[in-house]
Amino acid sequence: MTDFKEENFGEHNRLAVILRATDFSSKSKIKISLKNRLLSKAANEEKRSFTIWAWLLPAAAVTLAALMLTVNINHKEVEQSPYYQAPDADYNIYGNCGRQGLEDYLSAPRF
Amino acid sequence: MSFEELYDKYFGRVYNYILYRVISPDIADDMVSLVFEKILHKYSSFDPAKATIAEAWIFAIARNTLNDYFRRKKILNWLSMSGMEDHIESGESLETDAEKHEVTAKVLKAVEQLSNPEREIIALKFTMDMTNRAIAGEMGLSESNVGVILFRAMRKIKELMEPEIL
Repeated sequence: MTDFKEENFGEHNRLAVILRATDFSSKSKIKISLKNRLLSKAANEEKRSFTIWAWLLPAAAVTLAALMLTVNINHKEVEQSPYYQAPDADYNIYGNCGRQGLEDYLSAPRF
Repeated sequence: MSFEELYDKYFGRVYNYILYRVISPDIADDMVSLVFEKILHKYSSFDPAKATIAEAWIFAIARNTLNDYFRRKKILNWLSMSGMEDHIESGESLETDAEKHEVTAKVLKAVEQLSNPEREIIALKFTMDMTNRAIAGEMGLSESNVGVILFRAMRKIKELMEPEIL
């Protein structure tokens, strides 16, 4: 805001010093009690806000468990169609010898 | 800056500012309680790193609280229910304080004789450390007008206080 030295009150300089230095707060009857009350209020609010949110975690866990249970109960095995036909088991791109490409040296004894 | 640090740093200035305006220490206590209740309530939205903003923020809360008080008081006066407030603010209690804190009580008693705008300017100048320009901005006056009112108010205080103090 301002530096006191910057200001010149002329004939009122002494009064300005008195006005600036006068501290009435010693008159206050509530300085300490108000501080204690507000600090404990702040601490209680912090605790309360934790309490308000603290139930959220178990509640979320219970909801998730219930959801999983519902999903599992309602789960039905999808049966394969009786008309499903397996691909031809004999068919193999490497042929019956089982050689898997030209680099498959281990397959040599099988020839 | 924690709320506790903020309280310790600004309690005196806020109290002085309010007492300059309302004169009665009891009312000042009530007002200061309200101001710091509001500060605590809004503290979560306040960025403690910005100290210069803190000052303006606290001052704005204090000023708004005082304005509400004066508005309420005006309504009560209008309803002819102001007898009690007038009694409280008559400065009767200052007589005993004067024995204990002579200069402080005399300053307060002299300030009590000022008009509301004069008192407001003195409070802003000497408790909130505001420049004439900043005060002018707050009060919707010109800077030179603030200077004139300030000097006039100081002359009044000087006349009202005993010469040996000054």
